[in-house]
Amino acid sequence: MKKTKFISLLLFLLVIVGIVFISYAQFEKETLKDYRQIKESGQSLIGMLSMPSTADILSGANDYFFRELSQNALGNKIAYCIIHDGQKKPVLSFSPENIHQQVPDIIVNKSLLESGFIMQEFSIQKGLDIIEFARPVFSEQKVAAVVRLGLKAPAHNFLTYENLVLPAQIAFFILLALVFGYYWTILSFKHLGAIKGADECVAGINSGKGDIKDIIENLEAYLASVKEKTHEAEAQRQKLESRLKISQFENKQFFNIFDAFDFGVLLIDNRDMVFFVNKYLLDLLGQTLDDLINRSYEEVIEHEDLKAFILQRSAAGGSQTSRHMNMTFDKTDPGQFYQTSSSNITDAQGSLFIRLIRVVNVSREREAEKSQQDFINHIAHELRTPLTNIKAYNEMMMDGEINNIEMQKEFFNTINDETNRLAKLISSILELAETEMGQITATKDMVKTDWLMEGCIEAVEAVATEKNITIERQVPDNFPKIMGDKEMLKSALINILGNAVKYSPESARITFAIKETDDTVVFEINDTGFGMDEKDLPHIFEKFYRSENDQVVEQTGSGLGLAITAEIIKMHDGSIEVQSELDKGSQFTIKIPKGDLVIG
Amino acid sequence: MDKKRTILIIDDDIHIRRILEIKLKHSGFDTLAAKNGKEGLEIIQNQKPDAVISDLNMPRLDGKELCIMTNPLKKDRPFLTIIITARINPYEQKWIDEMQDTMFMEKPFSPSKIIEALAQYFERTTA
Repeated sequence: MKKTKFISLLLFLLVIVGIVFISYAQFEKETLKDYRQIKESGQSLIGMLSMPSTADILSGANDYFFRELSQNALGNKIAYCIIHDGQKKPVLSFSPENIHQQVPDIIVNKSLLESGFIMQEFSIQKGLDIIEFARPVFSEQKVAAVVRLGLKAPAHNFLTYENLVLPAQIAFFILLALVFGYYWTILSFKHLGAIKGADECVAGINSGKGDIKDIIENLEAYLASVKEKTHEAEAQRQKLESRLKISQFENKQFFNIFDAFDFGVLLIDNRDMVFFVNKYLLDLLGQTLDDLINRSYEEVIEHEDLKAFILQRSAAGGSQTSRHMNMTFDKTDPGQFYQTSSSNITDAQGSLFIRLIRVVNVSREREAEKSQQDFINHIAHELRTPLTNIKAYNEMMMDGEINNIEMQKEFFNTINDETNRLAKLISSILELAETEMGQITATKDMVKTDWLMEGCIEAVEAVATEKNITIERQVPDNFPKIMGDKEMLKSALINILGNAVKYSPESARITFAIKETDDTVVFEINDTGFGMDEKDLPHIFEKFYRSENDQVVEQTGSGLGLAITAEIIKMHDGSIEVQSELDKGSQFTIKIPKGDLVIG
Repeated sequence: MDKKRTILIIDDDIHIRRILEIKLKHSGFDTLAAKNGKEGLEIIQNQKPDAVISDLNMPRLDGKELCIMTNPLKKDRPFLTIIITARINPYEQKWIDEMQDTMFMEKPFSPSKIIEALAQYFERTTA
């Protein structure tokens, strides 16, 4: 500690001495410079003053000249200027401060008695030195006048303001350098001190305790610690690097997974920048990832509905709930419907981290929903139409509006017919629903085809007879047998045979044929009725489908018969085909596998 | 005595056409009938009925298409359209709201309610 202080003091003193020395040298240099200037000025001025003729000098023609001199040339440096005549008497005197009166006689006498240029320096009082210049003016080889000029010598006071500026400046800059140097050192050591081991070293240096050996030991320990820290930092760096690689890999994997999705994904970060868009959505938007990534979604997403949705969800705040919006991408995927939804992903603190926008193709769902709605509409229509008739006819009767007996009969018949229609319709719908839902399973028994044929003809005979329609049977020698549900098969065949009767004109001819192959029984029903339009054929097995032909529209029907038939045949692993021509008739061919017959 | 109003009935169901004809005639209206939307449209254009009662679900131009096609005619000659429907599909609500002088009656409807609706409409439009 003492050593440090001593060295510091010594250094400080040295600096002070240095400053003083430099300052003094500088001062001396400046003073000498001033001195030379004064002498030169004095010589030239005295020369100038003694140049005019003696008569002029004595007549005082230079009076004006003196004044000008005193004001302009040397300013306040002129102490006095006196012109003596041939008898050494002062004839002209310029002495603003009356300094000439204090000039010692010895100086005056020497100036007056010498016959050439003379320069003398003397001190009048402390801090005021005068340099007197004297020069005789000759006229007719006699001294006619003597000019004396006193100039103030430069001040020798070291402690003047001007003189102190320089050392003060030097001292200021040295102090500034010292302060900066000190703090820089402290700062460096503090930095190092953060590392274990450097503390002791710094403390040792700061306190001044211990000697160089201690400091070196501390430094060595500190260096060892630095080395250890460096190793740790390197290990940490490698660990982080591998984590980064894993993270990048995981990110890439994530993005690859997103790209494999069959729906659109858009990620927007909390600065409203596009973070990621998967391939599916890029294709829909018709834009590339480079167009969008790391840019404000408002600027880069061209699809107005999508942009509006994000904006709307953004305005809705950070709620976790997801809402959706339906939209289309007609430019890239016309005719398809998409549903867009949004969810906010938050970090552990609950702040919004990423917004996830999903764009899902819902065309199929919409189609399914629409066909379900259509189905419900059909059922409602089919059920409520007979119900309307029952209600309306009944209401009219009850209101006593129908008095005519014949009309009353007609009304009762209509109510009865419509009730039957409704009951039959409900049965058909239930049958179809149960078949479709698999609630009815075909009971596989051995079914005799002759029984089937007769049962079907019997069911439609009444209507056929009414219309004078003949049903011709075409049968093999031996009726084949099949494994199946006899009631179901009968119901399926009755639907087709019934349609043949219903949609044939009076006196028409229908053929019901049974044929056999090795493993199949074929039922063929031909009619010469109204036939079907080509455009109706692909739809006849659809539920509630009814042709718009007048002959069809005029007949009541649910549009469910053929749908039920198709379902039953499907349950028996069979097939149904139809050939039809408008106004010529139709042919239905039903093939049912015989199945494993149990001979009994 | 005012001229009898003419009401057009469009339905593919013969029984509905029949009961509405009887009810309307009993209530002092003249009636016209059509089996489908296409026939109905021709009658609307040529015979200019004062009101139309139409089923929604029909072959050859259904009630919706008929409404949309006849709606512009109502600018010059307003007439009431009563659509009889078993069910209004949620998807259909939009076009329904855009139609002028159109109302809906759900099946099974009461014939008296139809007469009431017609009477109210004519009272309002002639006032």
